[in-house]
Amino acid sequence: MNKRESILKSKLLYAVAAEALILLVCLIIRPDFFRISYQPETGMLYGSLVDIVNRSSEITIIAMGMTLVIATGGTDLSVGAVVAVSGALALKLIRWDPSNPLYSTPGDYSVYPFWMAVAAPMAVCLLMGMFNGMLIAKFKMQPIIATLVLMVAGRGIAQIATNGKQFTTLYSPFRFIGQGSFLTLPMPIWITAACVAGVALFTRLTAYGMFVESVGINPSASRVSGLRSGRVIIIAYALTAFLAGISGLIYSSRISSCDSNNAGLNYELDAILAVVIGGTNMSGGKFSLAGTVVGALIIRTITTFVLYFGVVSEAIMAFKAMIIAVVIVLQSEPARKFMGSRRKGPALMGGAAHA
Amino acid sequence: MKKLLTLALVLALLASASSAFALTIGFSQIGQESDWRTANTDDIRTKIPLEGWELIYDDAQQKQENQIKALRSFISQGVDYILFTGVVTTGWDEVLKEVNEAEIPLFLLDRIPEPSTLEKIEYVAAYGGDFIEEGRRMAWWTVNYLEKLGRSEEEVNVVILEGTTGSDAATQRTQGIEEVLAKFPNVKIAAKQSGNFSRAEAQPVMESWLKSLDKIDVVLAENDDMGLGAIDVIKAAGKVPGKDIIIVGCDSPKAAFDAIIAGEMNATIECNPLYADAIIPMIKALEAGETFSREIVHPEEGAFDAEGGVPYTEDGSKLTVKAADAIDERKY
Repeated sequence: MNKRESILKSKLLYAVAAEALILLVCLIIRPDFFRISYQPETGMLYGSLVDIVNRSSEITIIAMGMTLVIATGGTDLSVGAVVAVSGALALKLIRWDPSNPLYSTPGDYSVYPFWMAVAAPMAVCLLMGMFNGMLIAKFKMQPIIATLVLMVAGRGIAQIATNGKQFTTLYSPFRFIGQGSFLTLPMPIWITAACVAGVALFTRLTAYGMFVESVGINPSASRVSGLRSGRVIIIAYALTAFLAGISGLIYSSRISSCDSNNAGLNYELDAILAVVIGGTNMSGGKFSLAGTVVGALIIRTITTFVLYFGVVSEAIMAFKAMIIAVVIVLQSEPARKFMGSRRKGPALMGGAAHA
Repeated sequence: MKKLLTLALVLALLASASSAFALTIGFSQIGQESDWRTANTDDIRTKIPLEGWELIYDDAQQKQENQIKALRSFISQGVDYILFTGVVTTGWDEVLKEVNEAEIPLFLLDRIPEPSTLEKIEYVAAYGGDFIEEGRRMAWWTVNYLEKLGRSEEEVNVVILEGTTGSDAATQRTQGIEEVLAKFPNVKIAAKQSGNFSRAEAQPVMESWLKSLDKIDVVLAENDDMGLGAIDVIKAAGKVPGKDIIIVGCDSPKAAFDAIIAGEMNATIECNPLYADAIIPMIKALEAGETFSREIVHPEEGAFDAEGGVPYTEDGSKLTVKAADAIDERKY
């Protein structure tokens, strides 16, 4: 096993340990945090653990793409705005028909067919991602600058699409995406599972995952050795925006409405954080999708934890930041070396020095 | 020749048009952060020109520096009145003094600068909502409704979905609610937490409370969006919103009326964004030489619920209006 891989493994281990530790604290303070019951009225499992997985869906889905983007050595700041665009377009297709007064109030109807209300936003998001990828791969723009364009413009596009209004809907197929359930679990959990499995299969069954790592480790060497690095990069950004589009549909379905101002706000930061906590290095190279999933779960567990225990509103941000800082410091190289030297004695220290 | 004639005609029209305005009014608005704000802007922008007055509108996109620029440009354009609502409460001393020096009458709206600024500057009138009173009304409605249900002796657990942490509307509404509920020992505030005035952020907060608290009887949401977000989560917990858990909101947009009529929400306390009908007569009065005190004038605001007739003020003089009767008049 080479050094990069072993670091990744140990980071993943730390992330899992951090999640276990947070849950252990919950267990000690309030054992009922773990209570899960079956809710016959809704046919769903009911409990805080279900909430954690359910509410982490939006970030987990985006973070799958973000992992690949970061592995290529880039970053995508536009995902939050893409979430807003996706929701706005979906609601517009469901609600918008100025010529028909029937559609002026929300109801269980859709102006355009369901598949269109779902597929069109995802297609637009895919194009937005390709735009990001083109700016970076073809015009050689810095990823932060290139994706800043849509980060700023995206919310404007979403507002123009809805004329600055919040459309609300009672259209049941659409509401099912975020509020429905299948085999006792909320739909977002299934959608997330499908997205995680999809990205994992795509990166591990094809050579794409290896290409991403190679572009991230050494872009020039990859290009010289015949790898079309531009194409690899464009696919990573396009996939990320596409996943952000799915995330946006879940978000707007949960609230049965679109909210161009707040939808996906700060999601880019949470997604990057999930990737980093999961052990993927911001400078690119080897990546861990499993680590990212755990990272997203950690972020959501902290939020659910502070809400459950009633931490005052003013302190939530500081409290979250504190826990995350501890997790990241524990993963840092000096901290890991320190822990390693204590556990295994000088052997590993020597090994690390040689590597 | 024909072209020249047309040009002359257009110029003449333009000249006559610009002199035709009796008053020129500059309006510096915060931006468009909510439906409430959109309704507020649309109302002022459509009704002031109907008076034959010219309105110069500036959207500051939530930035103080943009508002300062807009105020200075109003001064250089020599407008007759300045309508001003500040995105924040501090940092206005200097630019508002410049407005005073230019002797342009200043009309404060909605978000009024902090008292220390108000002491230093002159303004002809101030008009805006009374957030503390809105909070009190939410609490009075709740207490009176519980009495109507015959639950006034019962131990009742209330949770408060607060607005954006640190905003006037949030802190003052909470203050009003707590002030009134303190008088009723059987009504206990079991939890309060920020839902950031948004549907999406209110959901996980409510979701956690439903699991961590033994009993929730009433949700007081500091805006209706948060109340609407809570409804779906309450349903997912197998409870009936509006019956098992009473939901009271604030603002009164159309969406809240729909929810009340559907029986999923119980009441909404109005926070009226339609300012034009109040401020236009005030401007006319100022033009006629009248003066207003430095006190903030508050809009007349109502409250709406499913059946109507529930008192929502301390003296019990005001009664709620039935939502189904009022929905057709709602403009936003």
